[in-house]
Amino acid sequence: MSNFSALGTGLSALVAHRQAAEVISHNIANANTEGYSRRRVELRAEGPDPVAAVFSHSSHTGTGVRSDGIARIRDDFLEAQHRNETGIAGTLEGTATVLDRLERSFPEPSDTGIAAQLDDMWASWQAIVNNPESEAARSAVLEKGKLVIQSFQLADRQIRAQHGDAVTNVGLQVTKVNQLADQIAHYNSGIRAASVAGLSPNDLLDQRDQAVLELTRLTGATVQAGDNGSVDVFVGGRALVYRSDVQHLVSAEVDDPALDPLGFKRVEVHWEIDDSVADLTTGTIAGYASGANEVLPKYLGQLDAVAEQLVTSVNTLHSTGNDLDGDTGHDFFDAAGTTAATLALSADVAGQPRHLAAADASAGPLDTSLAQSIAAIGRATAGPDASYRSMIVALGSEVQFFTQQSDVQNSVVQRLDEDRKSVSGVNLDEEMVALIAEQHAYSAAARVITTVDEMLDTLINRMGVVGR
Amino acid sequence: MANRVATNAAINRISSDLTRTFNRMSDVQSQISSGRRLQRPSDDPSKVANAMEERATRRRLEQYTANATDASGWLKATDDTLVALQEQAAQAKARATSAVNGGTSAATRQAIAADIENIRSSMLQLANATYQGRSLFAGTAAVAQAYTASGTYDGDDGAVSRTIDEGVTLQVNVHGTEVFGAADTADPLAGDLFQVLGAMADAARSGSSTAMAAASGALDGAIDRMSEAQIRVGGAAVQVDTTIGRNELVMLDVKERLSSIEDVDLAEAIISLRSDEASYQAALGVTARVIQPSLLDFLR
Repeated sequence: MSNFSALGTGLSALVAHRQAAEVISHNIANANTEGYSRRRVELRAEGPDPVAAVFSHSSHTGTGVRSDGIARIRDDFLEAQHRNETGIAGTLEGTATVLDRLERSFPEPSDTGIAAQLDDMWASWQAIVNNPESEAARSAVLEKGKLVIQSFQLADRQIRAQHGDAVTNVGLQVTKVNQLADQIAHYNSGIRAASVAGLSPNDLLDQRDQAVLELTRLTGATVQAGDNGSVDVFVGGRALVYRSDVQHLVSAEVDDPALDPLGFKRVEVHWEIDDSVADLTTGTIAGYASGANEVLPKYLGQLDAVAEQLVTSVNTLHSTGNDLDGDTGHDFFDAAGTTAATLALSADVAGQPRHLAAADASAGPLDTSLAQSIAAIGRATAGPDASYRSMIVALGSEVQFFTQQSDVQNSVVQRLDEDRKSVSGVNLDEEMVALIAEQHAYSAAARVITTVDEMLDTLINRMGVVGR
Repeated sequence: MANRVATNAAINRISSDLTRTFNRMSDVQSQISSGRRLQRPSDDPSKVANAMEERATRRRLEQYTANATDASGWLKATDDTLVALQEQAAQAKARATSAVNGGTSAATRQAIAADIENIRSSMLQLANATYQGRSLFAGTAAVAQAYTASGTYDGDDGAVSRTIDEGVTLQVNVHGTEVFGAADTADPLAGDLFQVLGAMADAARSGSSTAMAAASGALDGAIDRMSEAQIRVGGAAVQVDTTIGRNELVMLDVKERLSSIEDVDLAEAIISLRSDEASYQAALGVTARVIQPSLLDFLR
C-alpha cells in the first residue's frame, strides 16, 4: 500500500465516470435514432493489489473502479417478436396496397363505372322500341355499346398496368434485399473481428439489427445467432446471409399455365446461384407477388368472364333477329372478342346502324320485340350485370378485409415496438439524472484527489521543517 | 405492460394517434363535401350491391317513362284519327241514305256517288296518317303508307309494342286489317272499308236499292269494327296513363332508397366532424403540454 495509491483510486474514478458521462452523452445524442439501443457502462469495483509473498496477503483496500465495457441494453425476445410481426405486417401491406389500387379502377357505385354504362346501353335498346325506323336511334345503341366497350377496355388496361407495377415492385424490393444482405454480411464480419479482439462493437450491432429488421419486413426472414456476435439470416429455409457470406436473390417471371390465358407470367423470387425458387410466404415481397400472381389475375379473369357473358347473351339474341333491311344473322359484338381487352363491335354492325337487329325473325322489320328481349338482359338474375355486381361486392369485401387486417397488424407492431423500446429506448429524463450523478461523482473524485494532494503536500513539504 | 417509456416511443405513439384522428376527420370531411357516404366498394360492400341495383332500376324506370310517354302519343294520334274516320263514315252513311230515298235523279245519284268516292279517298288519306313519320296503321311493315292509292293494304299485322313497366308490354297500334277489315277480291261487300265504299258508290250510281241496302249493312259492319278498335285504343290509353302515374311514385321510392344507401346524412356527419375536431384539438393541446417539459428545463 503506497502513499500514492489513493491517487490511483481517484484517477480510476475520474476515468470511469468520464467514460460513463461520454456514454450518457452518446445515448442522449441518439435518443431519436431508429434502432438504437441505449448503452450503459458496466462499472466494477477493483479489488486490492496482490502482493507477491509466500503467504500472500493484501491490505484489503480496493483500488478504485474499472469499467468492464459498455453494455447494450436490449431484450432479444422482444426484438424477435417485433421482427416476426413486422414480417406479417409487410405481407398485409403488400396485398392491401395492390387491392386498394385495384379498387380504384372500379368506381362503383357511380355514374361513370361499368355498371352505369351497361344500364345506359340497355336503356338505349329500349329506346329503339320507340323509333324502330330511325337510324339515329340505332346509331345511339352503337354509341352506347362503344362506351361500354371502352369502359371494359379501360379497366383491363388499368389492371394490366397494376400488374406490371407489382412485378416491378417485386424486382425493386429484391434488389433492396440483396443490398441489405450485403450490408448485414459486412457488419457481421466487422462484428466478428471486433468480438474476437475483445471490443464491443455496439454501434455495428445496432445498425446490423436495423438492417435485419428492414429485411424481415421485406422477406419474413428468420434469424439465428452465429458465432462471435454475428447472425445468420434465413429466407425460405435457406441461408441468405451466413456469417460473412451472402447468397443473392433475383426476381424472375416464369410461365404459368393458369396465367397464360390472361397473358401474365408468374413472378417469383429465385436464388441467383442455382435458380431454384425461394419460398417467400411473408413479407412485402410475398404480398406484392401474391397480388400479381393471384389477386389481379383473379379479378381480371372475372372481368373477362363478364365480358364473355355480355357478348354471348347479346349475340345469341341479336343473330336471330332481323335488321332494318330484313336481313338476319348479324352479330352485335365481335364473336372473337370475349375478353375485356378484345371486346369490340362486330364488323357487321360497326358504322352500319341499319344492320342492328331489333325485330323478331317472324315479324316485319319495324318490330321491336327482339330489342326488348335484348334490353331485358340487363335485369336477368344470371346476366352480365348481376355477375359484375357480385364481382364488385367480392372485391369490396376483400379490400375491406385486408385494409382492416393491415391496420390491426400495424397496431400490433407498434405495441411490440413500444415494448421493446421500454427496454432499449432512451428516456431523456433518466439520462439527465444519470448525467448529474456522474457529474457529482466526478466532482467528488476530483475533490478526493485534491485532498490526497494536500495530504501529500503536508507530508512532503511540511514534515521535518521544525525550526526552519 | 411497460414500466418504462422511452422518449421516442412516447412520441411515436402520440404521433400515430394524432394521425389516426386526423385521418378519421378527413374521411368525414370528404364524405360531407362529396355528399356521398359510399365512395368506393370497400366502404360498405353489401350496400354497394344494393346501390348498383337501385341505380339500374332507376335507369330502367326512366326509359319506361319515356316509352310510356311515346305510347301515349301513339294512342292519342290513333284515337284522333279513328274519331275523324268515324265522322267521315257517318257522313258516307248519310249520303247513302239520301241516295236510296225515292225521287233522286241520275244526276243527283251521280253527285252522291262522287261524294261517296270523295269520302272514300279522304278516309284513305286518314288511313295513311302518320305519327312521328311512322304510319299508324301499317303494323310493323317498313312502308311509308299503309294503303296504296288504289286501296290495297301494304302493311302487315305486326304489333307495335312499348314496354311501359317491368315486364309490362303494351300493344299501342291497331293495324289496317283490324280497323278497316281484310280485302276480299271475290266479294267487295265482304271486303275492307274502301271496297265497301266503292261498292256503295256503284250502288248509288246504279240506283239499286238492294245493292244500296247491302252496301249500307256492310258499312255498318265496318263502323262497328272501327268502334271496337277505338275501344281497344281507349283501354290501352287508360292503362298507359295509370302506369305513368304509378311509375312516378315508384321512381320517387327508388330515388329515396338510393339516397338512403349512398348519401351521407349531413346532420349526422357534421356532428361527427365536430366531435372529431374537438377530440383532435384536445389531443393536440395535451401533446403540447406533455412532450415539451423535460428535466433539461429545470437544470441550471
